[in-house]
Amino acid sequence: MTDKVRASSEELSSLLPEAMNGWKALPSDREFTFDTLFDLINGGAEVYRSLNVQKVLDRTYKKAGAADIIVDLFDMGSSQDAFGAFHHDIRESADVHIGQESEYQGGSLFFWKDRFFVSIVALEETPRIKEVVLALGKAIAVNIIGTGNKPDIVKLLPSKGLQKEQIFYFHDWKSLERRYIVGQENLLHLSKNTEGLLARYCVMDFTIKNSECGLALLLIVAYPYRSDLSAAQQDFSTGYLKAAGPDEIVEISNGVYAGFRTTGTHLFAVLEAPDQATAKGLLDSVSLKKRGDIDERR
Amino acid sequence: MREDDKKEGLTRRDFLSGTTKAALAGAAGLSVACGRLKPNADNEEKQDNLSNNMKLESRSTVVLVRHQHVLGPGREIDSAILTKMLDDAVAELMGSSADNAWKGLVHPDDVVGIKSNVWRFLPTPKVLESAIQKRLRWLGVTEDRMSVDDRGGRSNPVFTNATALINVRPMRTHHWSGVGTCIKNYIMFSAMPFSWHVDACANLGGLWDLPEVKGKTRLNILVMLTPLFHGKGPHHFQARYTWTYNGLIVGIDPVAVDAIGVCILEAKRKAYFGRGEPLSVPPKHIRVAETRYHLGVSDPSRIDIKRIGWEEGILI
Repeated sequence: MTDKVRASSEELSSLLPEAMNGWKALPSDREFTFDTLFDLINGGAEVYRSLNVQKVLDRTYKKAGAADIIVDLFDMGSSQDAFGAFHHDIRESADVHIGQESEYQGGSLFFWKDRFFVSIVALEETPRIKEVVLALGKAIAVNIIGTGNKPDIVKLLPSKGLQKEQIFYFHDWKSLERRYIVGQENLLHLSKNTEGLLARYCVMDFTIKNSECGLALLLIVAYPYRSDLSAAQQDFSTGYLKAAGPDEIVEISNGVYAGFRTTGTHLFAVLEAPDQATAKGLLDSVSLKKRGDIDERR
Repeated sequence: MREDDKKEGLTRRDFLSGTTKAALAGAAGLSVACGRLKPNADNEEKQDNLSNNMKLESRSTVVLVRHQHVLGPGREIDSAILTKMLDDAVAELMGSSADNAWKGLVHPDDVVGIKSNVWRFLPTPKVLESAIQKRLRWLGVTEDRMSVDDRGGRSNPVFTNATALINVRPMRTHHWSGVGTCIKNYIMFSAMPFSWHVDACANLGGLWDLPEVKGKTRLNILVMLTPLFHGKGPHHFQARYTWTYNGLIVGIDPVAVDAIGVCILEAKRKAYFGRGEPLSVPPKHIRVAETRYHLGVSDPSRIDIKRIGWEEGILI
């Protein structure tokens, strides 16, 4: 993880245009911090706080007789967490090539670039408003000069069958729990110092008729220290995998298979797969990726 | 239906805690019950106590009022029609004329807080707030003893001294509690709203035991003019996922009002996505409001819906 940086209010403000195609910014921006973000998005603030949000600039663009357009510029402090903020939601629509990854849907544009996550929401959806929303996004993306890296662990995801629209990056237990319940306690010893990825795979499942693919879920967690991983491995095995050891694939419920493996400070776990072979195959693939990553660094 | 929306509905359900059968069953629980609702079932039981001190009976009644022309082509609200919708609903709920019904709800000596909702993407309509205020004036409540507020409620002297509350807010999906409801609308009475977020906000019913609130609510109005049935992003809002339902759900029992609101949202999601699509976060707090806090009736099969007005696209 990189050290956090935080833009000044002036720097944030300078990234947003004053006007766009007849829509003008209201004179007063609103600014929110880690502590005050609840005032902007209430319960949703938990998502961005868990990803270390530093500051948010909220600006409304108005045009007489037309719907407001609201821009929120999230300074996430690192490109990794900007990536996480973007991927908190499923991104199933086509990338509109604004910033490093983007999605336009239903009058809204979301993208990330460098350490910034940007949300542009129009209160109505018309072809004209879509044009303006996209133009605003392009202008902001151009103003953000740099680019940033995705989290390193994203490179470890096997590509075959990966559903790219569903890559979920997180740090702590509460965030994982919102996506997937792995027992009732923090079995994986997740904290603000861990990095996690939950990814969905489309795999062959011969038990499902008339279905193109079955579901498998791969979890990757990077721990800061080997000792953290050891504790997590023990609790995860006991609490989720019927005390199965590394590389042992077990049926955790009817027709649902799971298992795990560790390498260095990383834990790889298949939380669900339709059969043993698929679970083992995914673990083999991610291990291979990890070995390749190590070789690449040498 | 757009292909990407169809895909969103399927994958989101599968990904959330959700691939487990138990989690899916919980998320879909209200849907199952919603299917058993009968139109305009008679309610023999009387609501003889209008506050939260009421004994919770085994059934509740809500009124669903709709009007085809309450919204114009630009979704502008016809205030006269909306005012009449409100009066008609209150009259039907209380089983008397509108005048007598309002007299039965609020006393001229009451200090009345109108708990609104200022969420900028879908706020409580000003014209509806005005319609309520107009009725309060007609009842004899003076200006200094009535106030409309949302986030300032804890410091608003009318609210801190309130003897009566009227709870009015729009219905929407919500990324933390599943749905934004009448039950949830009292979260701003808490000094620490975020402390209610655990477990999909399951304990929101507990808000109604706070001293500022307990036993004071006379009427709950869930605004269903343009409800939000789906959303994503920090604000969980896309204009595409609102529709002109043109309705209000009105009741004494906030749990029943919210449960019926959820049934309508779920029906809309089914119609839009082409199949039953559980909310991304199950609206657990509605059921828990009954089972743990005894605030009202959450099982739609024990809620009698009195329908008034426009029937096309009613979804329930």
